[in-house]
Amino acid sequence: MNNKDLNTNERESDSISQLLGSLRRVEAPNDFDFRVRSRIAKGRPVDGKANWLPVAVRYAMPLVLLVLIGGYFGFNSFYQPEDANVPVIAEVKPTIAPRIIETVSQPEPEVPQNDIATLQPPVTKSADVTEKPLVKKPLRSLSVPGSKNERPGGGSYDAAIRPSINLTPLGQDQNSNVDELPQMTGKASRPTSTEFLRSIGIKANSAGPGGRILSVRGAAANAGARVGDVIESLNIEGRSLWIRRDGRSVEIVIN
Amino acid sequence: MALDKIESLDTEGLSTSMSKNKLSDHALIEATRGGDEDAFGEIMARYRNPITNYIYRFLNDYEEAVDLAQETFVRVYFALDRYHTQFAFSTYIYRIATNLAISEIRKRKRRRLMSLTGLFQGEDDKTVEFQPPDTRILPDAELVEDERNEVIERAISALPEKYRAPVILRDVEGKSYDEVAAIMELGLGTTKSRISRGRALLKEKLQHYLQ
Repeated sequence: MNNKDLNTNERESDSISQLLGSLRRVEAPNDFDFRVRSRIAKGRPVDGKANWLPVAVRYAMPLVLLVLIGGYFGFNSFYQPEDANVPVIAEVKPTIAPRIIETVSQPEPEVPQNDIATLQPPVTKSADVTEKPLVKKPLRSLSVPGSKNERPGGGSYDAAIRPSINLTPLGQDQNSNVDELPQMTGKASRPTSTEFLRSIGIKANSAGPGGRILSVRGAAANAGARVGDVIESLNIEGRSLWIRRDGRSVEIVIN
Repeated sequence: MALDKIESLDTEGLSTSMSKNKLSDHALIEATRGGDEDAFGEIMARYRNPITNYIYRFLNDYEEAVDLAQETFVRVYFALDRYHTQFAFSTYIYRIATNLAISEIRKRKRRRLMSLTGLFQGEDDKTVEFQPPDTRILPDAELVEDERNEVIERAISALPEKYRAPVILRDVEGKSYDEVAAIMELGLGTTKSRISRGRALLKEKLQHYLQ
């Protein structure tokens, strides 16, 4: 670019400058001052941002919310109780409380290894532990066999899954004579299920629901109980029991 | 007696007003900080027209220019405590006005992008359609002048944002290069370069009016 071009450019630049400078100037309206003062009276201009919050709080609030929400879900996903996912099929209530017996000083008798049902933990004397009667009551719909309310068959799931454990006093053989009751020196006033069954002349492989009657004599035989009946429930105070026979529930009342 | 009193008050007001006219910008700012509202009125009297004209040339919209000029003074008023007197007040107020005008241009861009009609328009910097001047001979000189002004305004509006502000400050408002550099917060070389580049762009569009 030579000097001539430079001069031309400068001239044109000056011309542009003069052209722009020749534009008519606009002026502010007459009420300009008044409007400015009214704006000032209204207060500070609004920037559209939440300036009333400190910067730290503005960033900390969403962060704390995120942490709380994340922590909640994280805790729930990583910490779960062991039985949280186990579906509740049936509520199993213990029908036989630990027996109250004196500590036996004699050596324990041999337990047949192949009969798991007879295994039982050693029970020591405790004055606080009391026996509870069988709380299961017969369903009203099962009252009379052959009636309209007769249950069509089956049995309780509770009874089906219950292991057939014959609870006998420590040192007492399961197959011993039912009349040979062990000496009970505990403070319990009500008889246990086993004692009740023995007192009415029933020997069963289990004193609880699901127990099958192995032998019957005495009052139970007179009331109609038979070998092979399956015990459904006991009413110790009412001296009666519900049994299942041929798919039907039958109440046997001991006189 | 009462008339004398009124006359004396008028004289006092006049003398006060005249004394304020002689005060520098910094002195007026100090007086405003001290609670003298008249001092701020004097500041407005000095700068309302230049600022309105400057923003108008920037936006080519009078109503918006007046609104932003008022907003400029409101911001100045509320920021008086933060103003440092080592800088020229004119530089300070022009910088605020420039920032507001640029913000408005960017808002318009966003609005145009979001509107369906904006799909048929281009960017603000390049899309203000420049129409060549009508070369027909007009009988009325005033009409010619009006048309020329309109063409120049459109040409300025078509300038990219970074060239527009320095060119207006230099050629329309008559600021020195140093003042323009201070207002734009740019180096002197960059400022001169942008002004030169802006003039070159204008020259292409206003060739018809150059002699």
